[in-house]
Amino acid sequence: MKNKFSIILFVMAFLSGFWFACDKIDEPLTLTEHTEYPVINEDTNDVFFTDSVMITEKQVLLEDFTGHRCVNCPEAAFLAHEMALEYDHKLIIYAVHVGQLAEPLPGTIFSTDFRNETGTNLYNDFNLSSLGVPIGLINRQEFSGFLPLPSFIWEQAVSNEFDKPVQAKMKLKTKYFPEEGIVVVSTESEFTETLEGNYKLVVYLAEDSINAPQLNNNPEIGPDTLYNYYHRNVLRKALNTTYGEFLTPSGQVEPGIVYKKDYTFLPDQNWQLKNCRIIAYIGKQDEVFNLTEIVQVAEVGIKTN
Amino acid sequence: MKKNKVIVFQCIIIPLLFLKTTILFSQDFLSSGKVTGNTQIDAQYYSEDSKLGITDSSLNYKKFGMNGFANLIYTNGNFSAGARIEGFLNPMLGFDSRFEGIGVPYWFAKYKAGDLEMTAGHFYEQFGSGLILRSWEEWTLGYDNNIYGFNAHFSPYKGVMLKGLTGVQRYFWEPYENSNRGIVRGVDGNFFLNEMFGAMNESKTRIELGGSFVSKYEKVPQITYTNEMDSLAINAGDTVLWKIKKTYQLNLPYNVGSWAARANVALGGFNLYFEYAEKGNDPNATNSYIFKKGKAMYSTLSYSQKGLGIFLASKWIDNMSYKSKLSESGNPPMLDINYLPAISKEHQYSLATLYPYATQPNGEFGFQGQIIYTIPKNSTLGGKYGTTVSFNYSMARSIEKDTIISAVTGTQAGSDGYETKFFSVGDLTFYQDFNILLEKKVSSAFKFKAAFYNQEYNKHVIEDEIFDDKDIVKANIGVLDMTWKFDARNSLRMELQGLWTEEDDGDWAALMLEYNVSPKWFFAVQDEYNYGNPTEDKQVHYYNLSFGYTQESNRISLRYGRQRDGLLCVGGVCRYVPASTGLTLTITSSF
Repeated sequence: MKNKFSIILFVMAFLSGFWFACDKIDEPLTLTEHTEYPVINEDTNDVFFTDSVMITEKQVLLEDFTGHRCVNCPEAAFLAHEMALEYDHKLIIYAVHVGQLAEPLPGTIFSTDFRNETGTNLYNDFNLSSLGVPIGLINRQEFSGFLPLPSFIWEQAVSNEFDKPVQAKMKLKTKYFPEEGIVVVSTESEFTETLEGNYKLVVYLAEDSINAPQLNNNPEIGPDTLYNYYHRNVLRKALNTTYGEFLTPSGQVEPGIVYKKDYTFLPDQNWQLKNCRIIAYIGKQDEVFNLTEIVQVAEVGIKTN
Repeated sequence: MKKNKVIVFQCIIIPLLFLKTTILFSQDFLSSGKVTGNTQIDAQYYSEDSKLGITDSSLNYKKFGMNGFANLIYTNGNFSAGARIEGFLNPMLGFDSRFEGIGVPYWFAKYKAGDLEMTAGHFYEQFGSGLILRSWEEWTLGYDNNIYGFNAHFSPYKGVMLKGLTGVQRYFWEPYENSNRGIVRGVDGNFFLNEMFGAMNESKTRIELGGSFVSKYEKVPQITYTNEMDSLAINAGDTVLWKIKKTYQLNLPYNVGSWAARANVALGGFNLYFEYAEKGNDPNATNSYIFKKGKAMYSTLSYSQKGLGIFLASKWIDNMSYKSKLSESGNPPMLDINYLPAISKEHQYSLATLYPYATQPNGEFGFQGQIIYTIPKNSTLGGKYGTTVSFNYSMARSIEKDTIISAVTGTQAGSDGYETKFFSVGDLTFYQDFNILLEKKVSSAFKFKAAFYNQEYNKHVIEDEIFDDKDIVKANIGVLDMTWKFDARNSLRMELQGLWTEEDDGDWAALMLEYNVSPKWFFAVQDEYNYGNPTEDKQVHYYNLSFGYTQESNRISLRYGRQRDGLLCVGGVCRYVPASTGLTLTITSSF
């Protein structure tokens, strides 16, 4: 009799485990996004200034990892901007100051700190520390089996990317509200073909033409220390985190649908807003490298008057 | 030479010996086994019918529909295996087009060793009355929620039966892959105390207790709600309109559990069954994504003695839709894990089935009372052969609900949905049916059945899920069913039916004549006439001509005529059948 009861108790205890296999939800709803922005009145333009681009052709992104104390970096930057001219500015570039050679040296002419959290994330996640600067990512696509590419093969890699078909169109618009001092970025993404995988939109802000010293070893560019060097498109901030956000809740996308996303931000007082650029791109989520296979990229300025 | 012989022995003789044993074994295995099976083919050829608005294009040019199945079961001692082949080419009208195809949606292998019985493959199972788990199949409804997985039954002691299962449910022909639906797991224990404890063996009170736990795991979808609000901000003397946008995500549970406890007590002619079940928070498409717990109670009490039977049943259901995919809802009902028992009487006569009841899983109270009494033979009222009278009353009503609206979603979604008290009864009638049936054999050549039904049918609730009293059909139905037996083989049955209502399609009359030449032939003509339809064009005769032939275990029947549209319900689960005209062939066979 005792034996029977113990068996029943054991069975019931085992069975009750199934009831615990039940997730009790105390907070049914979680706030995942909260944005506030002024309503854009298209009829009046005396309050804000608009700048916009519409991209229907293939554009390519070059992420130039650099440092102000890196002697080989100006050459790579010049090469990149020459290529941009050649491709009629369809090659979008931003410079990311990372690593030891980007560290500021307080009390010297190299006391400026161009580094930021986003750049450091990219540097660490793509494991660039072992390679040193200058090094580039071109559309975050591998070329000849390499993902980070040294500058001498940028030309071939860029050309290779331009040969690929257009997979998405983008519209990018910035509005500056001088009274509130804020910038609203509106993006529209539309895929032109069916793509497998999950896609994200990333929006960065870069500041162009920052005058600050830079080391150099290419006599064609100038002396060893370039005191009045104009740093081009320096990455300043990610508006929606380093790897952006999914275009749809699942990340899966369909052709022909326009995915709209708006962002509002307050620019840093130290930035020259008129020199700032918004760079937005669409990339595929990759389990190892976070975001790879950039399918389209767009750049737009911010009109301040 | 000797070596060669050894090689010949090793390479040829030994394998042959093995082969021979295998053949012998398999022959033995096959010869002592038994194969049984049955088949049913329903085929329909549809014709255009201007009266019913049926054209080739409204039929999608699918002029021929065929639903068929064949069961094959092999049994050998403690082992059995079987399969069911199903084909819907194309599915007959009223069956979901996703059934189109042919294949084997059900197969299993089962063995029993000692006190353990294991099933692998597809299986049907029920815990208690099914409040938290029942998988079953009903061919005429096109309903099949079989579980594909493993099922174990274990009886460690006399009177104890333990069951455990894990699997995924059938969804049309869609295979289970990439977590496209949930996984169901459950355990059940049934304890028959009189068998378990020697002291109770002789007791007249027989007690059975049971309990079960069921849980489902599902990779939940992401559901978000976005609210946009306008707000005015005054900045440096200017008024600026701002938008505030907030996006919320619904935190859906990956695991939803449920439990049930039951008891059955029998004493003398009385039998009392009681079951109570609860389900954890389970926001789903059927309950509009509310996070309330589900509760259900079902009980029956019956009493029987010679010539008298009394049966009472009641149920109280609150938020008990339980499916293995939370986004699944509507018709046809698929992926149901549980079953909410119907307590309305299922009727035999066609006009009495015009307004059937469909169980409302989001909340209902139901009650049924039935008395069957046989007036003894050779009494004044009973006559020479006795008379059977049965009364039945069943009703279903709403339960009390105080609605809660989520400020975020603007609906019940994302909140508890409503508050209710256990066993509260609301004031909205879903369904009510009072009926009386008299069955009397007058002489050896003549018998008749007379029936009267008074029904109340809330069309909005049952057909459209609108919970109001704006469309209630009140109908009275009368039936007279007479059979004349001419000799040992020939008989004629006549059914006269009338339905009277002020609402819906108005009055109906029906006549059926059926001539039987037993045991092989039957011929029938039938007409249902909607003479009271307020729209003159819809005063249609639904005529049917049919005949059937039976030979041993084969039955073939052929019918030509019109089928009216409506709900076809079995056990409170319903399927909508559209109107059609055409030829129907049914073949059933078993071996």
